[in-house]
Amino acid sequence: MKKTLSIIFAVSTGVIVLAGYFFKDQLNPILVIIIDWGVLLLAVLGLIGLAYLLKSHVLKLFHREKGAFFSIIVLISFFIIFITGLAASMQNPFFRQLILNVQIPVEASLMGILAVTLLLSSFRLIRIRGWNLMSIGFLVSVILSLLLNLDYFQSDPGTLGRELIAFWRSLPFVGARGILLGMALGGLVIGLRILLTLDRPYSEE
Amino acid sequence: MAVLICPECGAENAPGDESCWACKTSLEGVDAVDVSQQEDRVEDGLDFVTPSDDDLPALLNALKADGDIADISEGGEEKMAGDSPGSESEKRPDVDESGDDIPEWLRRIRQRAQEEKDSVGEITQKISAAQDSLAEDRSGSHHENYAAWLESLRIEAQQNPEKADMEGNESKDEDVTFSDKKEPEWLRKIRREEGKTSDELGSEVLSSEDLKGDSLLQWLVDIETGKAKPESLLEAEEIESESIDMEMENKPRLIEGQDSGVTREIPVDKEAPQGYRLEVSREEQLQADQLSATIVDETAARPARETKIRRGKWIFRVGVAVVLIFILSLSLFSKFEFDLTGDFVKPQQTAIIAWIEQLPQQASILIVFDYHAGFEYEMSLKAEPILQELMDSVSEIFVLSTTETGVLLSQDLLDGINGIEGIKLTHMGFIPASNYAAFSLLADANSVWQLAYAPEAVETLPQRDLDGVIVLSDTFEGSRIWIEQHQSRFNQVPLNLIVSAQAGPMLLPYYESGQVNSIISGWTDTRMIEKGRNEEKPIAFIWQAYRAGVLMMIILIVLGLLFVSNPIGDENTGGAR
Repeated sequence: MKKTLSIIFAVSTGVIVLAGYFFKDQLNPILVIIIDWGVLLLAVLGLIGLAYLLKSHVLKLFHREKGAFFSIIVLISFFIIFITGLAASMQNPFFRQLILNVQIPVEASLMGILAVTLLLSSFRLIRIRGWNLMSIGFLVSVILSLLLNLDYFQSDPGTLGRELIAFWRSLPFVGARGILLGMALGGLVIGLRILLTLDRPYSEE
Repeated sequence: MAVLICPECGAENAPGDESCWACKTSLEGVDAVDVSQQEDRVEDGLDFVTPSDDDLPALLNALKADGDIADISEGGEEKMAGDSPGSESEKRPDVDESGDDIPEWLRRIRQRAQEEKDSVGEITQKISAAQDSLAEDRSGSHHENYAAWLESLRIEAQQNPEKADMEGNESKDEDVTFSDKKEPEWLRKIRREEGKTSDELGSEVLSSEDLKGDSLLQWLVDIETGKAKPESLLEAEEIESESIDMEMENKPRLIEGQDSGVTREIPVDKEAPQGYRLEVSREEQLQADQLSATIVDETAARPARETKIRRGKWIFRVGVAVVLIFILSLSLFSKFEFDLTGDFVKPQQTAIIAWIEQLPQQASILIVFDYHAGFEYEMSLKAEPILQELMDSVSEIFVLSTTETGVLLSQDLLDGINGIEGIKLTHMGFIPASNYAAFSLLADANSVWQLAYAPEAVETLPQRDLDGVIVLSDTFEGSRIWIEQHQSRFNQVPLNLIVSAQAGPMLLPYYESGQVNSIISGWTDTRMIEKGRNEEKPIAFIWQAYRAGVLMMIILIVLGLLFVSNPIGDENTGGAR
């Protein structure tokens, strides 16, 4: 019974949302309710995740496990932001700067580390794969794309150099288009399989 | 004494006889044989019989081969009564045993044999004795049970002690006396060969009373015919059967019925035997200890492994980092600008400028903040000149965030725009999923079904048609969701994308297909717009630093591939050289 209900609910929701693209005026009220429910469920999911995060750090602190010091920092930061957020609104400049002045450097540092990691990955590619046609082709493509993106190579319109540069610039877009077509076809097939209950990601099976 | 042995019948003849007295066969050419030496050789032959040859079945086989035993078994007692080595002719059917047709020589031999025990050869006596004994056993006489017979003698002796006393000291050992008197000579020799005394044999016989009366000779015959087995084999079979029984003791046994052939299971008590204890050898104990130590060691706390970096490698890495920082700092603060020439502004970049210029007065637009704090500097530098251009023609701006920090980032960005104070700014808040936000906004959700508890975004949807949508995103996926929903339900409104450098290449096909009005991606596009507008903004210097950084990355990749990238199987010679 439970299994049948979940199938009926999932398929009916999918069919209504799909039909909403074709019968916008008739199905809009139902679509709004479905969207509201989805947004509320996501918000509750965020609260559950927040509570689980707090619980794990509190337990680590009480059990005096390894890294409990960082749990103290997390808990203190959380409660400071939480209390400040309750006291001040989102438009408050102090509250805004309090968060962004921490969040921006942290995330930017992670992006910088990502760049260095990608650089070292190019070394490791040769170390693992060796010098073969695929690895050489990949690395040459990377270097050419970076150089062309910097616009160091310039040429007057109508010249051979201009055409060559345009050709090299268009190569990544050719690949991107193929990837997008594949993603669209894959999404279409997956959606149809779910609507036809061939795939049931909502089920425990 | 030398005699002539007849080659035909084997009879002994006196030296000098020309023909055999028994069969009249000529004895010419027959050499005289010393009978005493021959007897000695026979005895010697028996003495030196190897244990393997000294088996009774072989002896009985020899007897059977000679026809003696077979005759006994076939002929019965009548033949045995008059047997003698020289009575070969008596077995012939033409001979009448009544006595009339018996030749004179035979009569004399028989008479002599009755009168003189030694009238025949010793071998013949042995065979005769064996035949007599076997015949008695086969005939079922009162001596059938050898042990029982001995026991009867013992009982008889006990019942008649006087008679036993009369036999005197000679009968102290009844078995020995019996064996001396009754046992044939061949049997005594066999016993001597086996090294057993009469006492031992007697005790064995006595101890074998439970053999159900089988006499020794009968047992030998049974061995020969296969009815019985040697004692060694019996013992081996008993040991083997006992071991099998012990193995099968705790298992359900399947016994095949002898008669019916039906296989049935015998119920076995499966209870563990009481009193069993585990016996562990030293080697097993060591292995168990080692296993326990391994299990305990798995959960033991260990210090974190310290990565040892060679001194040369460490200096090299620091040197590379210092060079990178120096070059980037130099390019950032030197204010050197590489002058761009030609038409470097691309169509997807000029399209947003054209859209801004074509916006009607009192236009309303929607700005979606779909990027994270890490991209704040890049995105704000791109979006700021665009938003600044919009201030001249836009009267209302709806702001929606689909990331956690989007609300704060949007306020931070818009606060830096000149003239924002005269614009009606509507913050629609945060919607946790881009797809929900895009779908709900573009579904024209202003309806009577709108509920009181609906999120802020639903309550403050634009009340009239928008003049355009700008999506600020740092990922391809976030931008794609907005493109798909917009194109399917809201395609009359221009969609403009201001995205990070990593998302730009994948989004260009949407521009080429007409689903997106314009795309500004990365520092290069922003600098192109700035150059096209003849504005001098700080982005030019940042762009120079960006180019220098990327160029350094390219150089490092090339150097790394040439000098660092040894195959992984050649680690020993790898590293910085």
